[in-house]
Amino acid sequence: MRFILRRLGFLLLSLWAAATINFVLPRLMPGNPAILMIGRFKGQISPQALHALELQFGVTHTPLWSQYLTYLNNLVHGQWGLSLTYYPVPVSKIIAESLPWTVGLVGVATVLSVFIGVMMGIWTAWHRGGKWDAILPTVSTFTAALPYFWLALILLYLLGYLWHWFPMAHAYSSSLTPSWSFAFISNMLYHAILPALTIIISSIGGWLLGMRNNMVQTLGEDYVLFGEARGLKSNRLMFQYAARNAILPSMTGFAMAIGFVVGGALLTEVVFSYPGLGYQLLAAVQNEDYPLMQGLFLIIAFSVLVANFLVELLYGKLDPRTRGGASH
Amino acid sequence: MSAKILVSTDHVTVRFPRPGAPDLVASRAVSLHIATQETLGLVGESGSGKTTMGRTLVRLLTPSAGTVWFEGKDVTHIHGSALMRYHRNAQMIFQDPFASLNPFHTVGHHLARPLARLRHLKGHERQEALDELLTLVGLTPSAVFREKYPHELSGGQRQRVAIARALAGGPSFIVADEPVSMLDVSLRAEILTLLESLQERRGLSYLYITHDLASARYLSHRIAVMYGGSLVEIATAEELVQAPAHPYTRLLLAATPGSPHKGPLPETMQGAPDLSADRIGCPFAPRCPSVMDQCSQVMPELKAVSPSHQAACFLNT
Amino acid sequence: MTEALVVDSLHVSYITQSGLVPALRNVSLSIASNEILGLVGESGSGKSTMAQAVMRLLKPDVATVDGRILVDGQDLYQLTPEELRLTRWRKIAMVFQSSMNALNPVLSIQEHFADTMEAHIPGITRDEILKRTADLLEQVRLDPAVARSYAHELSGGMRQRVVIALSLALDPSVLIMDEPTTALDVVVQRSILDEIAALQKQRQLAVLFISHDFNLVSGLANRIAVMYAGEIMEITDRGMALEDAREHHPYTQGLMRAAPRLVGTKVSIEGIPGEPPDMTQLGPGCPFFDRCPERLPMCRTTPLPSKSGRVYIRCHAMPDPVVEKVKRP
Repeated sequence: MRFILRRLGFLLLSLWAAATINFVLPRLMPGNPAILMIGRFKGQISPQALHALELQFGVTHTPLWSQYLTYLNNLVHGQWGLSLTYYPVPVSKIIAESLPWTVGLVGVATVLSVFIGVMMGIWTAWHRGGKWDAILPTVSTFTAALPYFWLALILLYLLGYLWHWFPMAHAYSSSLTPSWSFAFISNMLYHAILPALTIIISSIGGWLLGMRNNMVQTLGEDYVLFGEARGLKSNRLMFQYAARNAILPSMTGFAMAIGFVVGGALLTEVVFSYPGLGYQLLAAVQNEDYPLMQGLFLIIAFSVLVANFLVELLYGKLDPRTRGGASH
Repeated sequence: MSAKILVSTDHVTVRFPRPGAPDLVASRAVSLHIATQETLGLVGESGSGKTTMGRTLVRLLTPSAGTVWFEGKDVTHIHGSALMRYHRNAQMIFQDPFASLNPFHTVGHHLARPLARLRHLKGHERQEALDELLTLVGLTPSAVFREKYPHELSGGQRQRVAIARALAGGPSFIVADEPVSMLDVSLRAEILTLLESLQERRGLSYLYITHDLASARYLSHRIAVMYGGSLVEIATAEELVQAPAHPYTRLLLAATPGSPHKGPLPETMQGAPDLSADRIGCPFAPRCPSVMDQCSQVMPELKAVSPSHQAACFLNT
Repeated sequence: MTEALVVDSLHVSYITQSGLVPALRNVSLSIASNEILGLVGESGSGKSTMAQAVMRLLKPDVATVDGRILVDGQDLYQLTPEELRLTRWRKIAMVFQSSMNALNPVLSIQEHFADTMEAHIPGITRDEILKRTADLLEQVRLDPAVARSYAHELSGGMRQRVVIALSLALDPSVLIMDEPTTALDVVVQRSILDEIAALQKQRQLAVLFISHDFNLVSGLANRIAVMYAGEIMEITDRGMALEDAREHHPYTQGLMRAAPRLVGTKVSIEGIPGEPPDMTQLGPGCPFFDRCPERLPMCRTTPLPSKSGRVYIRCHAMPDPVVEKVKRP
């Protein structure tokens, strides 16, 4: 329990630090969102309009600390400013609309990739020296080396453009309106297959190789041999003795991967014109849309931190040595 | 044997700070001395403080309190070039010869460095000194062994290289910390007899640190026994083995393989000694079959049992 | 006396890049129930390979094994994988060299006992497991509350006691102990050895006790097998008193002269000159030839005679020992 409270305290502290950095950084840059907006209007704007814009963006000339308090207050209440690209849509609304697509696509693809990769890693290590142990790691080295946007383009060209097996872009057909109908959901899944495949193929090899190598090392440990000598069943040995210890070093990487899901597989979303956060991030960068960028950075930082926190809790569950206590 | 004292400690205490707990006291007011060409065996189990004392004597550690004397000079706080000069005289041999040698350097390279650094030898002179060292520790032909890497040597040969390296500066005092405990029996004897003959030929004094009373008896003139950071008994080797006065020494003797002891061990419970700074009394009191009320209150002083035998136990008063 | 464990003409070679490297050559021994056989050897002598070969733990891609291992008359190398799994621990159990690493760091001690019992006793209840675990821990003088701990929370001595308790969980007839006390302080070592001796008597176990420490084994074992370069040189039931040294194999004599004595008059020690042979370059004759003070010209080329029986000496220069009645130490 003390372990959880300690981790939770650390999480809150990191969240606060991330939010503060997000507050300080833009203020170190010259100008403010309103002035940027003027740039977009090529200077054809009156001082009154500028003042109105400043008010709208929350740009005030009050002392920094009071700006900071207002910022924190707005942050907690979901008021993250207005996007320049989609002016005057609030940033929070854009994020709320894009987030489900990214989590649905990249999140599910990442979890699938980790799960399948780890399982295949366990399996090849358990049957090391066998046929699959010769094939899978070699193939994995190859797929892990493919740049994922390049893979996306190849898949798009072959399976989408040339053979017409899958749609070329978007999350669903523009003729449909989002609903919980079978027609819409199946259409949505159909659109998700190619981008998901890109993510899975390009990342699964890393998980497989990492897990296989850890697992081979763990299989050489005395406690596995001792378990075998005790006549334990293979499944018990494979999962509770070997895999459970072998997975521990991969946990941090897993946390990072889950955290970065929210950042979106940026180029994958761009190639497939998928309306996720990655797509929005690119748009924000291209349009110098600082409020949107700030919002996106904040949500990415938050999700990396929260994912790390959750994985650490899981780690504590898997490895009693990290739970702390008198024995350290 | 000359009775001239070469190296000694006076109430040496070594503390290590621990976060959120009282300091760990690895050795507690330990006073001992070693005469010229004498071997003092230092015996105890893990956590007894024997290695800490060894490192303090060659000034790899600086004591928190107390004094280290070498040839009548206070060397407790020397540093820089004075410490380097001290290391010409006082050297150390470690337990694991493999870990103490760099796998990327030849035997010759390992020995050339201390010859250059401590004795400022160059070129032909250094080469000759190097060959002489290798011959001295029995690594002949020296021209062959000079070019070998640590992985090409057996465990016994590696320990010989480590001994040669310790001898390079021409020391008069060597701390040997468990030098044979990782070697096989047949090689152990070779290293022990080598240490013996080097003592005669080079007039060396040894602090021989070990957990094995049998080899301590073999190599040492006197044996000191440590428990929980304190020196509990010190006597000539034969007297200590044949007439131990401290209950811990008796326990250690009874438990050592080859002991004729039968029946249950003379202890009341098993456990590691409390090393924290706020401990009072005798560290062995919780396990001692002869424990008295005062034992948990006051640490007994070392008292003479015979002219060549001292023990820190209220049983002897 | 019935033979609980018989090792008959065992040959083991490791498979390496440069071909087969022998680790055990023509090893034969047998252990009766209620008997401790000490197996003594220096590093590289093959004694740990022996433990793994007897448990059939060497994987086919790691080593080739030839010969028979009979446990209660049943050849381990003739069993199917499932039969082997069921035989292990029920008939023959093992205590590992490094208790530090023998326990799974992420499972509690209780789970280790549960795993072991559930793998062999179908339908055993949770209550029964808890009760048996507590009993076993008490037998090795541990507080049953230790069951809730994890390996990293225990001292080296406690971990080794847990492993010994685990080895007794299914009441085996044969117990292999591979350097069970090596990393421990002498006092803890001695108290664990005392417990091993008591449990062995009480349960009529056949124990193969593997160690590098001659002195330690002679205080414990009924008979001692001395191993050198993968071969058993001698099995003796004589004491290790120096006065009897001439009755032993020349290598055993060398070991006896090399160890400093704790008691009795102080005698000088001498090592055995030379180094153990390179196992990839073994000749046809006795592997101790190069270091042997008693060697004859024939020893270089004539293989050591195959022998079996309770005591024997494999040496061209030495007669077999006179077989006496079995002594207990």
